[in-house]
Amino acid sequence: MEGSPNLEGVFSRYLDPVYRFLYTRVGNREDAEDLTSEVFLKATRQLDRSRPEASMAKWLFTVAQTVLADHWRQYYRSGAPVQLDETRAAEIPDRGHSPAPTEKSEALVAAVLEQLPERYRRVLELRFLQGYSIQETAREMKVTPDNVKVIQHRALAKAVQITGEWS
Amino acid sequence: MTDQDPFNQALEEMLADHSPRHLASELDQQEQQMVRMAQLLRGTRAGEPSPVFRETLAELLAQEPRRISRRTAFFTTAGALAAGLLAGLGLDRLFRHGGGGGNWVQVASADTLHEGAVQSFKAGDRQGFLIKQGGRLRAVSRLCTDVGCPLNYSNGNHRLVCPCHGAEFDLHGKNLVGAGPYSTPLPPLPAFEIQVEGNAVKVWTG
Repeated sequence: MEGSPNLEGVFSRYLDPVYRFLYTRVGNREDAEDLTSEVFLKATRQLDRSRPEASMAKWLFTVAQTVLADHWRQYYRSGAPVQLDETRAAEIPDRGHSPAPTEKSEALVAAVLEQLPERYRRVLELRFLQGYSIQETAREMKVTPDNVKVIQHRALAKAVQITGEWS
Repeated sequence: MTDQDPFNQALEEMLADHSPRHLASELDQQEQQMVRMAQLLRGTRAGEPSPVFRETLAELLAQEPRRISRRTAFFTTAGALAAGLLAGLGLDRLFRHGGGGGNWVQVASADTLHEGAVQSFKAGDRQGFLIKQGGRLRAVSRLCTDVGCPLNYSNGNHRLVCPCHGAEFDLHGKNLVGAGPYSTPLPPLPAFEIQVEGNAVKVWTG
């Protein structure tokens, strides 16, 4: 029997965590959906059904990391910037519990924001955490839209620099 | 919004839940890292996968083991001969599906299908195209083998075209143009088994 109730079970239990893991890193639905599909297609082709479920789950996230690394390599010719990869994120001290797959990047984001000057933190929070438009952010921060773009640019550059210094 | 520089455009795309990847090649290394930083920040807002995506992916995966088993079990010449023989007896279905999981579903009436017809159909939870060429009928899956978007028939060039990332297939299901800006080659569209009973054209949904 090749019909695999097993695989359906794996799919329904791990779709959400795998999707969230990927979304956490790509920050948009289109990439998250494409990469999630790729992970499960690979899984369907290569899954060893005799594995116990715990090792299956671990393996799925390994596949997800490979798919993600390929994505960065394929589209971002410079390859993975060292400061954003998993090992760096893992170095952020956590609060004594074992992190879920998405928690590392949350800790990383929190740590980055904490180290930024107030104005830079504010623009990044409004724009990327709250999803404010340039205009809305401008109103909120009482600056011009062009100023928002400038501050946002500097804030992102500073954030990249900070994570770079951790490596 | 349209005449923005690629960096700000990439940020806007990402905030609109679209992929900024097609703009990456226009960015320098520093800007790429900044976009990735923005992606990481935005990623803290991860939600649930949409129901449509969940369903489409489940359907695509349901087709996958079938294609693999067909390829591996019947790849050799002897295997192909045996497959032909089994198909003639109608036993290959039992063999392949372990005896369950599908139905014959009528998707058209034979007398309404003119030569050259390309008609989409739904059969149970499967979707396909029914094609009549050279007096013969065949049916291929309608779901793109990239991420499972339903294909559209373009009668200008007789191709099945994916609205999501631009992949194109011929009417035998062979991939002609891959998906996305890098045109990754894709597996062919799986074929349906087909049966004509009287005037009823049926496909197997297993």
